[in-house]
Amino acid sequence: MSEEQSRGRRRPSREYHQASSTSRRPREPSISEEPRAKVFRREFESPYEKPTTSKDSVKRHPGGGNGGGAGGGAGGRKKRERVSYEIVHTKPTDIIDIREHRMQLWPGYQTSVRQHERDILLCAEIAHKVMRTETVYDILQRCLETARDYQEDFRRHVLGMTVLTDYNNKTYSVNDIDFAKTPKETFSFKNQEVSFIDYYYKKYNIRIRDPNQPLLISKAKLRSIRGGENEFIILIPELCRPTGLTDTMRSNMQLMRAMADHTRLEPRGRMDRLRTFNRRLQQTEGSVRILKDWNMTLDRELVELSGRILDPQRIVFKDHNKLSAGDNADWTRLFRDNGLFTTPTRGLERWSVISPTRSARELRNFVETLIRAARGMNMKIDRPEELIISDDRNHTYLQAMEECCRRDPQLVLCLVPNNNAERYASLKKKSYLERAVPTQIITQKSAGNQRGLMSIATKVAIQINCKLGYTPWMIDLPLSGLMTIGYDISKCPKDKSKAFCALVASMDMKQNATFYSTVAECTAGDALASNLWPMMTKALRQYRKEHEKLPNRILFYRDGIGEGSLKQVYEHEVRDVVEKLEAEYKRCNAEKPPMFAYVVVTKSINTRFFYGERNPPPGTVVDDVVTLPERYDFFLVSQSVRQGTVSPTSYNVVHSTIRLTPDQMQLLTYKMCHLYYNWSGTTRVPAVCQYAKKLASLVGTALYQPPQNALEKKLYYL
Amino acid sequence: MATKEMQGVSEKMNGRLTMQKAEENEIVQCPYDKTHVLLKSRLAAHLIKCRINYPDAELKACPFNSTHLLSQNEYVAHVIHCPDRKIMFQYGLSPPPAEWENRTRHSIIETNENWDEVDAEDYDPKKYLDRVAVLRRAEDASRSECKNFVNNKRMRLD
Repeated sequence: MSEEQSRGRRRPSREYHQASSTSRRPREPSISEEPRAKVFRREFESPYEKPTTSKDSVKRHPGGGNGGGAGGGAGGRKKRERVSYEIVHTKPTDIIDIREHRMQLWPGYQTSVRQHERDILLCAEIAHKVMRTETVYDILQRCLETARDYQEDFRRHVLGMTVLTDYNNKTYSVNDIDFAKTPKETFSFKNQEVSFIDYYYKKYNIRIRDPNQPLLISKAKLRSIRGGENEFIILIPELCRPTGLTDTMRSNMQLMRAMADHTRLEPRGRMDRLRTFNRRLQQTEGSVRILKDWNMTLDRELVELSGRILDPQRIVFKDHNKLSAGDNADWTRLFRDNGLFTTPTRGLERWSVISPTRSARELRNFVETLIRAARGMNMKIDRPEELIISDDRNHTYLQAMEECCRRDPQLVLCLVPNNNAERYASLKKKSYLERAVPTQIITQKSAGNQRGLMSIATKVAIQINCKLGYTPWMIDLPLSGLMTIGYDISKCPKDKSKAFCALVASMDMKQNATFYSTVAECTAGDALASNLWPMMTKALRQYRKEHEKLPNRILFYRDGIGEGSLKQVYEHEVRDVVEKLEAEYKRCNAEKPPMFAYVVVTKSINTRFFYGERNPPPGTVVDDVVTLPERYDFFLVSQSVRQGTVSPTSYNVVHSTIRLTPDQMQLLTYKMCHLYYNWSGTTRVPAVCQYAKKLASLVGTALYQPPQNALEKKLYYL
Repeated sequence: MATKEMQGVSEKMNGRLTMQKAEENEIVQCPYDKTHVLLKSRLAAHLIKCRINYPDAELKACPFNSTHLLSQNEYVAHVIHCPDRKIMFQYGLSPPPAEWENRTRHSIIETNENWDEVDAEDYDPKKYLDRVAVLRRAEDASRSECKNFVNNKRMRLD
């Protein structure tokens, strides 16, 4: 995903909090404010800058140390413990204009000061805020021109958006639109009735051009209400600028690419920017004074620390042929000479393809290439049964699918003209909800792609192998009796009240390279999982069916939790699961309960590492200096990137009775990142988490229901 | 005049907001205290806090959903009728024909190392904290415990 984060998306709670402290009703008789430099915050990752303490401080020397620093410091220490977020002003000269897409990027920083393993460190990260240069009024004009029901359209565009008003530099979130009112309306101000038009002219010298536009209503946050503000703030569309990216903007590839040019920084560029920030901090009078008050100094350089680089892992192919993944953790080229680890013994012999008549030629060509590619990887694919349909309507496809499924195929491949989400959803629903047949959907563009056809066919062959329940490759694991579980939640974009949680479990990877996947519906808005136990039971049962005993060790990777919920997760989920595991193992007459570790995986962190002036290689592990002392945690860089700076992942072992050393835990986690079969390289999170995410999002966007039980042993959602 | 209109707007808005909320989330009762009424999505977080106040309530968690807490006599009846039972027992077609189920197992992958007998001690951050003088936050405990903690810290770090 792109590194730049628009305000609306990531960490909405903090953004909200920020807005509330700065918003004010425009009606309030106010003290005049001079225009401030534009401010905003963002988060991004950055290396830490270490404040060195004066020699009197006792923080680093537990034994001795003079009392000098302690006196002034002790009182202040309590304050310093808290993570504080500071806003840094952007200079108006730094604003980046992207004129052709009507937006601006405001670069800035987000910081936090915290006690880390040894010292107090300042974490700073670069982030950009997206400001659109058009106003809400322009959006209204567009809706008037294009849509029949412009009010609905406008509502859809604008409700929930955060807008910035230029005259006082504050942001508000739009809660409602009042079409009945116009700026000519009056309100009482200093015991006089003033219309909005007059008010804005008198106070800010702004002339409102259209006196007939509707008004936007923003509900003030509780804090400002308590501070004496009124509950509702009325805004004029002409004076409001929207912020953040909409979904249409996100899917506009050119826009994202133009933004990425500015926001995606190479390691060197990022380090330079951070050093500039450091210099500004050192020189600004306000910060110098604060540092002196606390008797601290801020180091001028980024924190240097030593990490470890894990060896490139070995990937196991057919006939247990083990080859190194290479320094870049990418083994795509190895498929040319090596077969897939396990393939169906009799190959893919009973399958069908569906295609409209006009793509029939591309289809046959593609199938040819597919068979050839699979043969190169030692997988046998027979000729499919072809079902050519006359047109490409959804209904025709569904009927054809129904007919194919009657013959009980192993797989059905559909060639579709384009990426239409509705058709995709209905095809998947038919095959995964009503029947239990894995399907592969290819667009005409991919099938007809002349140049890259062999590589596309290779990838599709690997995917098909997985969908049938077999394994393209494996890693060598020095531990037997281990079950790895990944869990993630995904919200339904269409129906905001539903969310789906998915759990994917591996079997004993030394002997069995399949994964068991299950998905269930859960309450939207709830970060805590209450359905863990039934899903884990299903996975445990499957393990016992395969291996005739329960696992010795269970490693659970939990994704989708923000930092604020950590304590709750521990209380709610971990305690519950540990209790139930003990009870279950006792019931099954096992000798002792399993050794269990619960790891919280976090991708959205502010930390970044640099190796020299370059990206650290995949397999870099850091577990000192920048980790938190009260946690058993480590950072792992598992993926390699070609552009920009790589983002590490944070792993926090919340509970562990697994009786492995931290080194072994880190190595195990790194190994688990090699097993995502849609990508012949390492992924950012362990494969089981990535699978859970993919499954939850498939069910959330297309299926809206958990699919058939029979599919649970196959990776049908890839 | 303007303020009265504003009130009208505010009522309309409140109505709309609450209606939205109710559609998305049901209202449930806390099992520890029937007077606590809250949204379903907040129940899990609430239970953690409420549990501290009711240490004597002997409630057992339903195996299908850990927010369903039941007393001994309700337990059996609930488990039979739990709405989340479908997680385990839903959507089963007849199992696929046997010929499909080619065994996906393979022979054991040999490795150089073997960690099966490893019995290392798990890293415990608390031991590290006791050793090293770093700033800490008191774990969420009652106010008196927090105060004690801060006073001890002064002694500890001085």
